[in-house]
Amino acid sequence: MGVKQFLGIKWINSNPQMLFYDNITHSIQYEDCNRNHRNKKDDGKTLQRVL
Amino acid sequence: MEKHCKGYYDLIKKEMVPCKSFTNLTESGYSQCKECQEKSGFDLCLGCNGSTCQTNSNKARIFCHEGHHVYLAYFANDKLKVGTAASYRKYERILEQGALYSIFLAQTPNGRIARQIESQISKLGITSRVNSSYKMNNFIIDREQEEIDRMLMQEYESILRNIDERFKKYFIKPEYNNFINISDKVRQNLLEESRQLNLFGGMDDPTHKEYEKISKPEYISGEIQTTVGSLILLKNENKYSVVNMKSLEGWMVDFKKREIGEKNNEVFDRGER
Repeated sequence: MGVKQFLGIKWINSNPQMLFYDNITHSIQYEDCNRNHRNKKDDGKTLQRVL
Repeated sequence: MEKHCKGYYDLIKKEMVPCKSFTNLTESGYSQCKECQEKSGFDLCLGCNGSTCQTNSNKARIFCHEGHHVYLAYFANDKLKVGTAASYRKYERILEQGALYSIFLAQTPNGRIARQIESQISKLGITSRVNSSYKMNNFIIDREQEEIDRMLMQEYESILRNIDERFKKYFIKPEYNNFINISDKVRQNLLEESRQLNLFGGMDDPTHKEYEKISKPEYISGEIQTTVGSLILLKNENKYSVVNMKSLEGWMVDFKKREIGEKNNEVFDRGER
């Protein structure tokens, strides 16, 4: 990939991506940093408490 | 290697914008230049408690007028944190914080009321900040999920009993979130399952494996096991390290990627300062 500027880890659609900026092509590149598994939100659960 | 301004996040376009002047910040403790701080619109919003609006940025005002949520997050060793999130990115917000267990407890029409509620809850004794150092030193959550659920719920009820009457209408039935696949990944890597029967007839608690804490990485390599907020867990020949990637923001790095199975899956080299 070569030398790039590291912009940080951004969570996009609940997945962590490493962002790199290429100062020559002026583009931002994304690298998945969770390739081994996908994050899945546990939507099924809501604690039972009614106001 | 050098460090340059990392640009800013455009709240309206909802995308990263690189720094136009690519300001050199190698000798600075910051990763953003003054101009980009101002362009983000958020520089005067830090520390806001919802009492008086300080910003002169239209972008920040537009953002603040969007619906918000207030959350209560659980961190390892029973640390609870209160925070706010714009509703449209509430899950990303808790994920970027590294909060693997949390509840959304209030929903507000704008950020200002959310900040007022956050400030009130913080006065009840719940922190609104958990720093990277705490997160690195307390990386493994070894409480059972049910215990965490109970703790969050008890705190929710206590907050509801003690919060100002005028804020109660914003409280919702708690929306519970967990990212157990991430915490499971941490546990699979960093907990030693000895599981021996002890003298009292129960099972011994699993022990924590050693891991190196790298707060200011220069050169790192290994296979990424998981990501928690801005921390990554790397494995390299049965040695583990937790790396604070936030401290690399803005730096020029030489990133090399290798396929799984090859030696040294990921290599980050910031080189000599």
